[in-house]
Amino acid sequence: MSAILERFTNELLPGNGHWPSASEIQVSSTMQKFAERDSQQQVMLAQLLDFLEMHNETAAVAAALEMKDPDLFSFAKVLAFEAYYTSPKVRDVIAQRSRYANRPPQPAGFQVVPHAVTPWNQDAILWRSDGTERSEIVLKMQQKDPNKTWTVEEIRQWQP
Amino acid sequence: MTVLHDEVNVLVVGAGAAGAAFTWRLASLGVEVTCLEQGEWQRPESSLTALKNWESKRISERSPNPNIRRNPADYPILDDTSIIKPAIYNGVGGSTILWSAHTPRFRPSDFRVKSLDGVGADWPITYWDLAEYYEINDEIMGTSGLHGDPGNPPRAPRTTPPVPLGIAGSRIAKALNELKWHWWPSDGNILTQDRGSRRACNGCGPCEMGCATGARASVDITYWPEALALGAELRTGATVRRVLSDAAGKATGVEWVDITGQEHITHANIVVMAGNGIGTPRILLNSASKEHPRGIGNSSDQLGRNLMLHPIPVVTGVFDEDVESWSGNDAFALLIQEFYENDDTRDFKRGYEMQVTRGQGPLVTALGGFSLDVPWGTDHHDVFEQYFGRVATVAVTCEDLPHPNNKVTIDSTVTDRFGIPAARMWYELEENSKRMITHGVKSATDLLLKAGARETYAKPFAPAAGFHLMGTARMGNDPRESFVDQACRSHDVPNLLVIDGSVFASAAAVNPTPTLQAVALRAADLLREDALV
Repeated sequence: MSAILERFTNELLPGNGHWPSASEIQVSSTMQKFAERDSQQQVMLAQLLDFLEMHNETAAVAAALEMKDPDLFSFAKVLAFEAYYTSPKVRDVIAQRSRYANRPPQPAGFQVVPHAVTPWNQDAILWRSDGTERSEIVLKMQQKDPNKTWTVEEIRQWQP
Repeated sequence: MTVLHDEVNVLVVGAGAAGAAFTWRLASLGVEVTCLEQGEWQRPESSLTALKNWESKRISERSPNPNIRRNPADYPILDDTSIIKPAIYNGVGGSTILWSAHTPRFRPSDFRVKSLDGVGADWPITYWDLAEYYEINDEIMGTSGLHGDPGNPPRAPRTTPPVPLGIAGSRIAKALNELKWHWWPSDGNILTQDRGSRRACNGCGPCEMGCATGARASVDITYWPEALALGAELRTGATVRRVLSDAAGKATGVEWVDITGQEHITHANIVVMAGNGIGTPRILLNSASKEHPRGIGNSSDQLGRNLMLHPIPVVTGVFDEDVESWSGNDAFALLIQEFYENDDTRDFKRGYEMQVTRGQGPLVTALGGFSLDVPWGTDHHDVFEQYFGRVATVAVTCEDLPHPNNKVTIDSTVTDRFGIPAARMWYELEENSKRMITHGVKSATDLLLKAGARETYAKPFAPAAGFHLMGTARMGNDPRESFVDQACRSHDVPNLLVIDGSVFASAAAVNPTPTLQAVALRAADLLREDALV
C-alpha cells in the first residue's frame, strides 16, 4: 500500500538536483500520520488508496486522479505538499536557495524594510462630502490646514 | 434534566470585537453586564508561529473556515450555496483571534450611498455620529499609522508609527507616486512600538495564526481585561440556542447550554446580539415563536437578508529579485483609495480600495498563494523557486451592494453538537460587483507592472475571504426595510439589540471591524443615555 502512495507522491514532487523527491523524505508515511489527526482525512486517505490500488497499472496515476476526481486529488495534493514543505530537509533546501531562514517565524521574527517613501499627495483632500453641514465644515478645516494635529476632544465636537 | 435559571441586567451574546467593546463601555458606565461566549479563552501558547510545523497548523486547526477547523465551539455553516466561504472564529476575542488587524475607517459617503449614488441603502446615522467612537476604539485597540491621510477626515495621532513597507511595498509606493494615485500607510491595530505588556511587531508574517508578541491586537488582550476589571462578567463555553420572548413579544432572556450539556435560561432586561453577520441571524431565526413566527423581531422579513461580504479579487506580481515576501505583517502595508468614491464615468457604482499583502510561507506559496498556479510534477520545483519570496499581492476590496437573495438562513437538516440548526450562506456576485472586479484587476495589474513585476496572475475573487460579514440585520429608519433602528434596537422588540456587522446598511470598501466596534460603543452610550439600563 505504501509503495503505490509513494509512487503517486513522486509524480507530484519528483525532485531534481537540488530538491529531494517525495519518497526520499518519506512523504507518504508523513501523509498517513497527518491524516490520523482527523477522521474526515482518514476517510479521504482511504479513498485515495483505493483509487491508487485500482489504477495500479496506470502510468500517470496523478493525472488520472486529477481528471476523474478533482476533489480527492486536491485533498491528496494538499496533504502531500504539507508533508513535503514541513520536512526539515526541504526547509534546509529552501534556506540554502533563498534568503528565508529555516526556522519558525517566532520568536525571532524578520527584519522588514522600514517606511521610507513619502506619499506624493499629502495636501490634496480626496474624500467626498456626504452632503451634511458637518462634512462641509470639516472639509474646509482640513483644506485650510492639512497637517493640523487633531485632538480627540476636538473630534468629539463633530458629533451632530 | 433540570434547567438552571438565573437573572442578569444586560446580557450580551458573543465576546468578539463588538461584544467586547459594548461590554467594556457599559461596564465603564457602571452598568451590570454579562456576556455569554460559546468558545473559550485562547491560551497564550495558542500562537502557533513558534512551532516547526506552523504552516500545517495554518491550513488545519487554525484554518479560518470553521467547516475545515471544526473546533468544539464551531457551528456548521452550510456554504455550498455561496461562492465565498465563511472565515470566522469562535472564542473569547471572536474573529479578532485570527484577523489581520487592518483598520481603515468608512468614509462619510459610505453612510449615504442611496442618497448620493442611488444604490443600496443609507444608514440612519452619519460618519460624524461615529467619529468620537472611532477614536476611543483606536486608543484601546492600539493603532499604528501615519497622521494626515488626505483621503479621509482628520483623526487624532496614531498610537505608534506605521508598519514597515517592506521591499515590495516600497517599490509599489514609488510606483504609486509615479502614477499619482492616492496611497497612504495603512492604519492597523498592530503596534510598532512596545506598549504595556504588548511588544512591538517583529514582522514574523502570519498574523492570522495569533500574535505571539501581542503586537497585533485582539479583543481578548485589549477590551476584555479592562471590562472584567470594571466588573463585567464573562461566561465561556455557553452556546445560546435562542432568544426567549413573552406573550407581548418582549425579549426575556436566552436559553443556552454549557459544555457539559447542562441547559440554562438566563433572564435579562436587555438582550444584545454580537454573534457576527452569520451567528446573529442564525440565533434570531432559531428564536421563532408564536409572537415572532419568522424569527424574533423579524416582521419585516429583513433578518438574514442583504448579506454583504466584499468580493476580493487578488493580483500577484512576480519580481525578478527576492523581495522577501514572507516577511512583514501579512495583510497590509499601504492603502490605495484612488478608485474608492463613486465615478459616473465608470460602468459600475461605488468603488474599491487596494492593499498590498505579504507574509506567505513556503507551503502556502507551493499551494498557489493568493493567485499563483504552481504546477505539480516535473516543473514544480523550478516554478516554486521562481515565486517563493519574489511575489507581492495586491488585494482589491470591492464594495458589495445589498441584495435580498444574498442571505443567511437556517437549515435544520444539519445541527451542531447540541442539536441547534446550522446556518446556511447564500451568496453570488451581482453584475455591479463583476464590473468592479474587472476594473480592480486591471488597476492592480497596472500597478504591479509599474512597480517592476515581470508578470502578474489574477483571481477574480478570493473564495476563502468570507471574513467581512455584514448587513443581515440592517439598521434603518423604516421598520419595513430594516431590522434595527439608529440605536441598534430591534424595531419590533426594543429591548433586543444587535451591535455587530449585521447592522451595516452598506458595506463600504474597507474592513468593517473598527466601524462595528464604533457602532457598538455608541449603542452602549445610547442605552445608558436613554436610561434603559
